[in-house]
Amino acid sequence: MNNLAEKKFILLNEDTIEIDLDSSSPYKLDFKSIKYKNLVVNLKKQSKISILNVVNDSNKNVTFNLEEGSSLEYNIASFEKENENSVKVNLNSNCSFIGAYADFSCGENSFNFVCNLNGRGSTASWHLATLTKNNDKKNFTISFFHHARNTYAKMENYGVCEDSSSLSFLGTSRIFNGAKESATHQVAKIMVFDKKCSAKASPTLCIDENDVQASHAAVVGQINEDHIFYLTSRGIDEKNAKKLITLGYLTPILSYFKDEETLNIIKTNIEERV
Amino acid sequence: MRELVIKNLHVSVEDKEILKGVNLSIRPNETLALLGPNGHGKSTLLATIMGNPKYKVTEGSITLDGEDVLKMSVDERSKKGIFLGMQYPSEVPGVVNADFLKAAINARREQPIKLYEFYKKLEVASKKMNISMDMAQRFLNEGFSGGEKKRNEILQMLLLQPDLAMLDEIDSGLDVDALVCVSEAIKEMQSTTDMSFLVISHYARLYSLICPTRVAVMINGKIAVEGDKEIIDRIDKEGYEWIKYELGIEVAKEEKAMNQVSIGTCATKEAIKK
Repeated sequence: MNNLAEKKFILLNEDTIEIDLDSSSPYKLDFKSIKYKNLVVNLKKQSKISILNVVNDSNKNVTFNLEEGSSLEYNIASFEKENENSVKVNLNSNCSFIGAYADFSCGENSFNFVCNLNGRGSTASWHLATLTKNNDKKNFTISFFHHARNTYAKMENYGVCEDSSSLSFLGTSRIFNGAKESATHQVAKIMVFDKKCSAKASPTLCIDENDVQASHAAVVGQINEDHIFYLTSRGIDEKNAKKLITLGYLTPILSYFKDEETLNIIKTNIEERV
Repeated sequence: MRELVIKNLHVSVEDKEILKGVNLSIRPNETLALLGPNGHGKSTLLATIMGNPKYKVTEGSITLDGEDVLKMSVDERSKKGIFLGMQYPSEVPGVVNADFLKAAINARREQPIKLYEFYKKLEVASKKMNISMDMAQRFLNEGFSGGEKKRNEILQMLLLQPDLAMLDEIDSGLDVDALVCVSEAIKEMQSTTDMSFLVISHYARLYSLICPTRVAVMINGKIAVEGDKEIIDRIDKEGYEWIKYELGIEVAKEEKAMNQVSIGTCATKEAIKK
């Protein structure tokens, strides 16, 4: 896996650097090794890029511009301290984007994600798994904007909220006038463990076009009692049953991470924190 | 083998009394067929024996070889050898079937089962139940067909080897081949172990395959009739009307609650700090 920070960037201004990518290589990007606040990454036509982004104790803005027919797999992993990052993705015609964020950081985390589906036939999916404990405070704002015809977006935000922590998912899916035959779907689920924690899942659909498909689902609640009964009826004690169910909320995110080292760190983090 | 004894059992759900003094015992090596019209308490009895917290025992006792079952937690009951094959097994998203099965097996062992041994056992049981090994890697019951769920219940019974298997309409949703497969598994356990079975079904077909040793009929939350398998043939031919004429018991009609209707919902879900 190549280190993206070692590639040659163009300095756009004192805060912003830019790079063009056209290969099919997988890249790793650690925000700690980038001193500029803003990062612009351009994917050239038909390129297929995957980027593993490690974000710890960072405050960055990243913009991905995908040219026609290109695809990006963008995986974010966060384990340590507070973050305040934002990511913007601009998709041209027939581009595809898959984003996955495994967030097991501590403290405060504010994350803003915007995906503009500007080109016809572009598709995007977003998957988030996060855990808040102690006094963690995390806000995730995820938005998809469908500007072109025949575009598709799917958003899945999953969270587990414990102790006195707070967790918020704000999801917005907007289909603009003219984006006919587009589809947009959102799912937000937060499992709440403690009366002291505060959790909010708010999905918003703004639809300006008729010939479209749109759906949203939001669930905030405690572990389903029927699930606990089912597992305990097989001899699994309640504590382990809850652990299995909680892991079940968080571990599906692992399927998006291919890098063994990162995968092991995420697994260890999940095991330790749950 | 053990003997389960139920005496004067009264059970309520949401302040409505469902079981009104059930007396029943299940002896070692017995296969007891439990019949009765819909809504008369058969499933309630099984769920209560297993310890489903939705069902409140207001009077009476359940003992297993003299031990008070009602004082045991659900997982303790399972570890004591009680198994419930459910009519509607829960779908538990995120929990991988194999992880769940391994946890259930390990719950009754001092040393965790070795991976090879586990997969060997699973392979043998899956073959018997005509279940693909791929199913082990799917989420627990999620997206399973009705038949797959029921076969997965019996697969769990084979792996856990209980002393008493309670099967609640295990034949519903099964095609002819799957019914034979399930009944063969039950028959094998009847002949090779000293397990006892408590089986609910509305159809003589399953009973003709597994040959119950005794039959009980539950009417209005009580055991109204006990006898041999001729009762099954009679119910299959005549229904339950004869009970009214011969025993003078008025068979209550099932009450169907009105569907709950929700007018207008808000997508935003929130759990606020207390």
